[in-house]
Formats: sequence, structure tokens, C-alpha cells
Amino acid sequence: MAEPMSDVLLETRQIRKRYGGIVASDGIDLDVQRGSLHAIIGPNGAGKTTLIAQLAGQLRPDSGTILFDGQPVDRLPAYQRARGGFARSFQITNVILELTVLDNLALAVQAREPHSFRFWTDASRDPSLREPARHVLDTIGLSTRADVPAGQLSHGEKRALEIGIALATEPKLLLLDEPLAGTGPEEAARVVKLLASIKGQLTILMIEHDMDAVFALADVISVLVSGRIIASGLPTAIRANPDVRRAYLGDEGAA
Amino acid sequence: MTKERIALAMVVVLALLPLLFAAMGESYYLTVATRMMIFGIAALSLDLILGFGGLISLGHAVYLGIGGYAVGILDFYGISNGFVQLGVATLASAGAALFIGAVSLRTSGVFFLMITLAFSQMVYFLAISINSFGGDDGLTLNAHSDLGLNFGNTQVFYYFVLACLAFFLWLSFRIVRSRFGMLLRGMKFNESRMIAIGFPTFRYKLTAFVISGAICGFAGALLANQTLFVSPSIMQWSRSGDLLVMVIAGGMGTIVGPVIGAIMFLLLEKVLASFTTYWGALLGMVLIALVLMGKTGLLGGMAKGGRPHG
Repeated sequence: MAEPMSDVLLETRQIRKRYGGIVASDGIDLDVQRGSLHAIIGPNGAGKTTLIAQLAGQLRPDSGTILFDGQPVDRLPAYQRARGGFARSFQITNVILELTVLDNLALAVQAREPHSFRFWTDASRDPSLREPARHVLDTIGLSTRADVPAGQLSHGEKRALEIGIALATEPKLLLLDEPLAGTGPEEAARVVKLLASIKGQLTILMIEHDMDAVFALADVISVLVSGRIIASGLPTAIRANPDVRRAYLGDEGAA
Repeated sequence: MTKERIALAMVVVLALLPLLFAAMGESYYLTVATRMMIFGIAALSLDLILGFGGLISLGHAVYLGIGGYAVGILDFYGISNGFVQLGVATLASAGAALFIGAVSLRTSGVFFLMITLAFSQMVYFLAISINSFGGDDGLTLNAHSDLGLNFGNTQVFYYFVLACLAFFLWLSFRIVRSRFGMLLRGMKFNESRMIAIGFPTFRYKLTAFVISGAICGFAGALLANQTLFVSPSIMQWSRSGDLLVMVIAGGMGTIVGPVIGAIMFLLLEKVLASFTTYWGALLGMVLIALVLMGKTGLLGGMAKGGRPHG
């Protein structure tokens, strides 16, 4: 790389995505600073999950550009983006329920390797997979649950594992789609604590409805309404922004 | 009891069986048992993609046919070298699986089932229509594959097949515990997640499909050697159904279960057929009972105490 490292890790320019008559992304411009925790808030149906899916590669924008580390990635399939440093967690928990917690993480560690055409060595006894997986296990606070099938975890533990799987791929950019979805107050506190502990170690783009969590964690907040970013800035600025209050925060207060 | 121990116990019992048959003076049983083991290899190969990859193929018998015809056609042209015959049978099946998989693995579920069925039917009708290789009547072989062993001796052939079965059991246990095997299971349960963490899943599924087809083709070559005959019926679509039944009844994802499933299936077929010509109906009832009671197949219950693979 001859270019000097920019402070912007992820940049989108005029992302558009339309489903029939519904415009899910209406020319989204977004700059995510390297090392920051950038939150996207917005009412239901604002197009937040659609945006994440376009960034991670599950969906392809109709038009617009996504630059990652200065390189366009919008033509790359999801798995290549993942290999390039994207990791995504899902709003609906998407772990492998049938495998143990440690196996879930070990598979994510395995995904970092150039290929998995290795037919011979016992993967469950391979320290090069198990040790990094255990390290992530400690980070997400599930060390005592290593050999439990993921299906038997509590909802909060599954949310932590969901984030752990993304972390185990050692991404440059972590895309979190409502990490607190469906959690009770105690479980939410646990996930917030986890996010606070990893914040700063990598760049995080997070969608979240829980305003307490967002204002506690985010360095930058962008507000997405009807497929458009209507405001972007520091949490204090967003809180004070009259457009945002009218379009979003006010609605929630009234609801 | 772990699945490996069950497999080892089974191989030991199978190794001692000829002594029992000799004592009983029933050498015919040896031929029956050999056939069971060959189908055990075929069922095991299907388990690699069905039990571990979650791919329901209704065309797996096509590789039995390709493997069998590879031996038959080489024999027809006077090439009797066993290494060549078994090698070509395996490679031709692998090649066919590569092609069939490259097309069918772009679909899933019932569409995958239909496409694998369609491919196997195409090869089946191709075999029927080529008259120079016997067409519908099949092709009689002049000699066994020449590996320097006397395959004409049922005992020698029995032990050769047993050695092959043991080898493929061992190979499969290694594969499903490897990184490749871990990924295969991950894809079975949650493919989208595997893609999201960076696995190009298609090429891995295709690889599993090719390995599976190759092993099944080898089984087809053994089958041709046993009967010194191949005909299109070897790859009739009902045969693919039989293989599915063997795997499901024996226990998907257990490697050794499908082998036991194959043995039980052929045993029931023989026993019930000696009572009534309507044995098929009785077999059906046994299978329904087995699946309803067990859900996980014969071995699912037996190996429950064991640690899951991985």
C-alpha cells in the first residue's frame, strides 16, 4: 500500500437500494473513522439492517460505492469481504446451535486461514484453533460454558457468543446488527460491558435501538430515517439536534 | 461406546464371521456378507454428504453404476489390471461427481434431490441405450480385476472387501474430525453463517460431494467384481432410495451406523423374502417402526453416550 493510511476505514458513497416501491437506502453517505465505535440509530423500517447487509455483502446495492481501507469492495461476495476484515453479527442470533460454544469459535478462527482443505489432523485437538478460540471465550465471559452446545445457552450468552464469533475472525471492522436485540436489562448490561471492553481495539459500526447503550458507547452517531442519514455527529450534538428529536427521539418519547 | 469402538468391534466380528460360516458349512453366506459390506461402503460414502453435509441426494447409486461399468468396459477391452480398473472406477466416479455436484450444489433441499435424481436417470438410460455394452441386458465380465489376488475365491474376496471397508471407515473418521469435516458440519447446520465468517462454502461442499462419489464408485467396482456382471439396474433410482434408507435407518452422521444399516437392510430383505413374496411391505413396516422409535437411527441411540464428533 503506497497510500498513507487514511483515518476513514469504511466509506460509503450514495448507496441506493430499492425493493419495489420501497427505498431502503436512499443515497447513503457514511464515513466510519478507524478505531471508533460508530452507532447508527433510526426508527423501525429506516433501512438499518439493509445497510448492514449491503456492507457485509449479503445484499448488493443498486448503485453507489463502498470503500474499505480505500479499496472498493461492493463487487466482492460476502465471504471475500469477511476475509478482507469485515465481520458481522446478526440481529437474530445466528450461531450453530448444534455445536459447542468452543467449536463455534474454533470454526471462526479456522475461517481466518487461507483454506480449510485439511482432511487429516483432528481439528478438535489443534491448539492453533483451540487457543485463539479460548482467548475469545475469555473475552466474552463464557469460559465456563466452553463445552456446552450453543443451543443450551441463555439468550444473553448467545448474544455474547454471536459477537464472539465475529471477534474470532479478527476483523478490522465489526458490524453489529442490534447486539442487544431481545435481551433483558441484566443481559443487556452484560453485552454493553463486553462492547465497552473491546471498544477501541477495532472499528465498530453498530445498529442499536437501546438509546442508553448507544449514548453510553458510541463515539459517533448517525441517524438514519427513511433510507437517508439526516444527521451525523458526536452523541451530544445528536441529542441536541432538533431534526433528530423530531424525527426519532421525540417519537420514541411519545410512544 | 464411541462410534470408533463400534466400528472396530464390527470389523472384528466381520473378520471372524468366515470361521463361523465354515463351521456351519454355509459358504453361500460369505457371498451374502460380502455384498452387505460393499453396500456398507456405498452407504458410508452417502453419509459423508447426507449426515455431515446435510445434502439429500437421490442419485447416489449412479456412482455404483459408473464404478461398475468402468470395470466392465475396461474388461470388455481386455484391460484386466486391477489397479487400473479400480483406479479408473474411482476417478471416473469422482469426475462425474464433480460435474453433477457443480450443477446440483447450486440448489438445495428438494431441488437438489430432483437434480441428483435427474442426473442418475440420465446415466441409467445412457447405459440402457448403449448396446455394445449390453444395453438393458447388462455386461458380463470375462475376469475379476487382477490385483494379484484370487478374487474367484470367495474367502479371499471377502477379506479384500473387509479390508476396504475398514480403510474407508478409518478414512471417514479422520475426515469428519478434520478442519474440513468441522466446516462440513458447520455448513450443514448454518451455511449462511459460514459464508459470513469468510468460508467460500460451495467449493467445500463440492469437495465433499466428489469424495463421496469416488468412494461409492469404488464400491461399484467391487460389486461388479463380485457378480462378474454389471447392468443398468445397479444404478436404478430405487437403489439410490435404498442407500438413503440404509443411512437414515442406521444413523446419519455416525459413519459406522450406515454400514450397520446396509447390513440390516440386506439381511431383512433376505429373511423377509424367505417368508413371503410381499417382503417389501414388511420391510417398509420395519423401517417405519425403526425411524419412528429411534428418530436418530439404529446407532443414534447406541452411541448417545459418546461425545459428538469434534
